[in-house]
Amino acid sequence: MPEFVDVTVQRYNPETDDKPRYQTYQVPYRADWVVLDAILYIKDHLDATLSYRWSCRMGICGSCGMNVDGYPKLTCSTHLREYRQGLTIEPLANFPVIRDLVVDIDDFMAKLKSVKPWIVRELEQPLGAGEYLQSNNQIDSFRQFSSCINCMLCYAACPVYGMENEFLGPAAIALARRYNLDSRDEGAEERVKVLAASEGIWECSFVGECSAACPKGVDPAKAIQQTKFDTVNGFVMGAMLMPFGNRR
Amino acid sequence: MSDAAELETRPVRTYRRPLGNDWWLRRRSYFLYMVRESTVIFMVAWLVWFLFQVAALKFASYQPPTIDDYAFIAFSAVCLFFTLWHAVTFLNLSGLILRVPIGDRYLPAAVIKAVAFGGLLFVTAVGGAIMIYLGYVKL
Repeated sequence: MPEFVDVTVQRYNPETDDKPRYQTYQVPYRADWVVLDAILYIKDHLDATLSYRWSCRMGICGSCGMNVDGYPKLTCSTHLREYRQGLTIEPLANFPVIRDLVVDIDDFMAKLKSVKPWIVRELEQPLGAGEYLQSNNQIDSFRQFSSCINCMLCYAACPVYGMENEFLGPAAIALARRYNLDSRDEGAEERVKVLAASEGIWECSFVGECSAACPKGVDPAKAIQQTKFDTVNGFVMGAMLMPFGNRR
Repeated sequence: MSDAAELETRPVRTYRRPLGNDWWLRRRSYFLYMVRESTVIFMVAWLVWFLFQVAALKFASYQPPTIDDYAFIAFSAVCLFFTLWHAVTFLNLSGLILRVPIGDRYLPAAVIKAVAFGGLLFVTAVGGAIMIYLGYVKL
């Protein structure tokens, strides 16, 4: 006799629905299944109209982020056995829903691009000049921020982003921090214009849920608070204490 | 225009669920955040009361609160509790936020935290000593 688990899924069809509705499916229970397996089962065997994103199934691509019982999770890394009494799957909170479990990520992608999450050099070295060498300690200073996979769970957990969608958000700031701390990078001055703008770091009131939600152990809340401190420190040291000495 | 091209250019109709005013009741961590933010109300309340006491000094009929004024004791205890909550939660994060470079390393977070709490104790002790002294000499 197979065991089943009730999986309730938020459905939304923009062509017919004014607002989302919920639909419950009975999915065979297997202790080694993750939540994404249950969703794949629904799609393959119960309802082919269900829409969702997924790709790697191993917690790397960041595509399958959804709210599971109200908490943002990577569904490929969340086991079904944690929800033996049933579960509710919704699209990531705080994002516009396009269809069923698919959210619009354009806003996030634009914000991510605005902080230039790549190494910026004032003058590129020719390849023949060799590598940009770093010590282990220099790498350690930004290593954890480089683990971000852009899954956007931190945005779904952040009530500030939920209230103020203009907020740059945790992942974008964490990645800006990652490159600002990189000894090879020279783009901090370009990024600070975005980070210190009214929609940047100062919107954050340090709820801290972004760090709790992160499936990769990144601490975006730390990145934001450190950037606040560095921004103030840079302003005080550069513009007030040494107004002329800091000019190029 | 082909059907596919028309679909590409058609604006997508999306649904955005409102956050709602009760968002801070949905998770314990959200609730604790709101409590932390609200601690400032008690800090300000005590400071306002204190300023009124200072202003009242100019009146000859002024009677300072005494140790058997239970309402004053209770009010101060509640304000002290929330002030300590604010200070401890804030200073607990000092090691996380402040980064003091030493070469290509940084001062350990535990050291920064210890300095921060030590500083709080020092300032509290000095401030308390000054207030007790001023009370003693009845300035």
